[in-house]
Amino acid sequence: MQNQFDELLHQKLYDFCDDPDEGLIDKIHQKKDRVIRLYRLIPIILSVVAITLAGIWFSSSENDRKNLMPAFESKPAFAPQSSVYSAKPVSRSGARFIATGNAAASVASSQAAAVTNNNNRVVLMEDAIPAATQKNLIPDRVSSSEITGCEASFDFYTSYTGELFFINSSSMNNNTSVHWDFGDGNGSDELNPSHQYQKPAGYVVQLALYVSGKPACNLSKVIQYTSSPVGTGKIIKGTVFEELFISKDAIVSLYKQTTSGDKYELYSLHKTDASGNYMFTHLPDGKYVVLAEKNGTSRFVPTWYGNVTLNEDADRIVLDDRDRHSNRLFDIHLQQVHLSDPLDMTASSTRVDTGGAYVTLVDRYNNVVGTFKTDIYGNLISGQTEIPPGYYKVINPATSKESTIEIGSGNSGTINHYSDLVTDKTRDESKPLMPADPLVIMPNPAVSDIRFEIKLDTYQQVVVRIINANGIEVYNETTSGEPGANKFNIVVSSFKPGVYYVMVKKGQGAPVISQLIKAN
Amino acid sequence: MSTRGQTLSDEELIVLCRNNQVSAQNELYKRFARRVMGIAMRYSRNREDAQDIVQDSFVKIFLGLKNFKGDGSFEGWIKRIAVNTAINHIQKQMKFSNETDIDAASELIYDNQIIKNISANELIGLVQAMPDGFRTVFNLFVIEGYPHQEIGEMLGISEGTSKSQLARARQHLANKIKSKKLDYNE
Repeated sequence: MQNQFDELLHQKLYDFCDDPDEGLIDKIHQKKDRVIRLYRLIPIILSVVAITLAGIWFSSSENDRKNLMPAFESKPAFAPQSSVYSAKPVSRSGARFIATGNAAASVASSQAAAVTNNNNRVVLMEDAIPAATQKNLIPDRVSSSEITGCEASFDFYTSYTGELFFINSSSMNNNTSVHWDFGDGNGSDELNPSHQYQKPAGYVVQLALYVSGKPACNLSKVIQYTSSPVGTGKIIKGTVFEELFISKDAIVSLYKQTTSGDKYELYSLHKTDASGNYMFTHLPDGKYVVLAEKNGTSRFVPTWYGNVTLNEDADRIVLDDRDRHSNRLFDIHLQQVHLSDPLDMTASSTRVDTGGAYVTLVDRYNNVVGTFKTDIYGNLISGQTEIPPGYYKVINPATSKESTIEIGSGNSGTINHYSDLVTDKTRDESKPLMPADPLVIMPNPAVSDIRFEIKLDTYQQVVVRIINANGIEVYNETTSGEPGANKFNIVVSSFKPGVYYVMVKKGQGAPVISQLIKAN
Repeated sequence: MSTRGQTLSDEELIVLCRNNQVSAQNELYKRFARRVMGIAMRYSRNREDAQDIVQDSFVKIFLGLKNFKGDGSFEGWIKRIAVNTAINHIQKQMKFSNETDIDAASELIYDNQIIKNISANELIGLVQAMPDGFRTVFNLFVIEGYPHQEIGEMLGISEGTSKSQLARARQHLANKIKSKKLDYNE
């Protein structure tokens, strides 16, 4: 009786829909933006509360401190620790964290009734918050600025090896220097460093800007480094389903080759389920490219991708790490340098296997972002192109070869420089694409200096440039070469250990590039 | 902008919305607003309250999208947010009497045919006219299908109170439906 009554009402009401009034979406956006703004204030508010409590703690007498004690005990996050409160008085100048303006101060006073600072400029000190709590309080982007106009900003992206590239997009001038804290005990003073985390964990990465050597502002981001950035993939095409197993919480994009065969189109974009599976149902025959981005926390983006051909003959294709490398047609590594350090684009090259081919860069929705033409050697010589950060495919229509690239963000999303380049994995290594006469660097790896020879037919200008793995030029020499063998000897002892690219350009010719490993 | 002719899947939209992209959020709203409004109407006293619930639900949806793990269906996730938001809205005003007599349930008399003939809109009107406590428990149990124990935990009431509220809600609704029938006959 009851069940039937419930059932009837359930049927009537379960799918009940109604149109909200027009314009409600605008109110939603307004409220959402208010919440986001408030959310950004929270760390400041908490800092103000913490500092105020610390201030009371210091200014109060011994007896008062005892009275205050229970309050602290009830909030273990702010429990006084000698190391935490031992430092400085409340209005110390030169402190790192700072909140200015009436808004923050008044919000703070409503949160903590004991705020007595009449000055609407509330100066906070970083030591006032226990270090551990500090990290927990930083939600994602906290930029506190002491010097007007100083705003730290950075982004990061990964290579498929799992290495993280950090891109500093703060406004900088000659007096600005940077320090990076990667949160795992390592740091760097490089403008755009790269870092490889060893252990899967959450890390707080901080970029601190110093103006004339004084702390100016900083920005912290939480990076969730997940284990096994690449999953093992498996695509099985049966009569019923094809299953792609990647990794939990990965975004899986499946690109399908168009019937004309000249490009790939996004066929579907899905998220894997909790056990890391996604099932593609009823995939038509054809050639696919699978791209999986692992960004469950939208903070860390290892990439996994591979090529899949589905047809009647191949009804079961297993992609694993080995296939991932052998199937990929080529890798393109696009790197970025800071805007203040633009590099000569024509000097770098990206190798594609066909001379005179047009190479098209398309975004994930197949919007063409840029078209580049290769030179007679098949090198991609590119001009400066404005490309927003994200994932892109590079397609060589002449060969239908395509590759996925990842472009990080910068000041204006401008890519200033292509540093390394395409390695054609399917190419027959016995047939060199580059002009004969490769650049042989000795010794390699090098510790103190490197030597190499450049053979010339005529008097020509020779430009030698060395670029580090972040695309930053670390060496540049222009000399007049003579016919015959020209010997070069370059001291590299001051270079930091790592991978470098030595580019040698003879006259107006295409550059010859060789990798250099700098050892300790 | 896109050269693809297909509409975006929910999953694609989610990815775009995560970056706080307004156009994607508008599209998401377009897809789910009617559904969320429907839920909000069931839980609220009137249309104005329902719109407030819709507004808060979408703010939560947009801000909380990064937490959507993709374990269950996206629509299910949205519905859960809508229901929770609705409960938050009415919880303050809600009063539950602690009567635990559920005898009323055994005397439930209703007309099958009338329920079938009554429009969903009319039915919503009757649901909205119920006292807050009745309406909430009725929605959670009959429409959403939560067990009493869970409803108790959600609303901070005992399982017994949830049961008695439901029994009285059924009775209340059956009576209202019966009077509808009288209206028709007149």
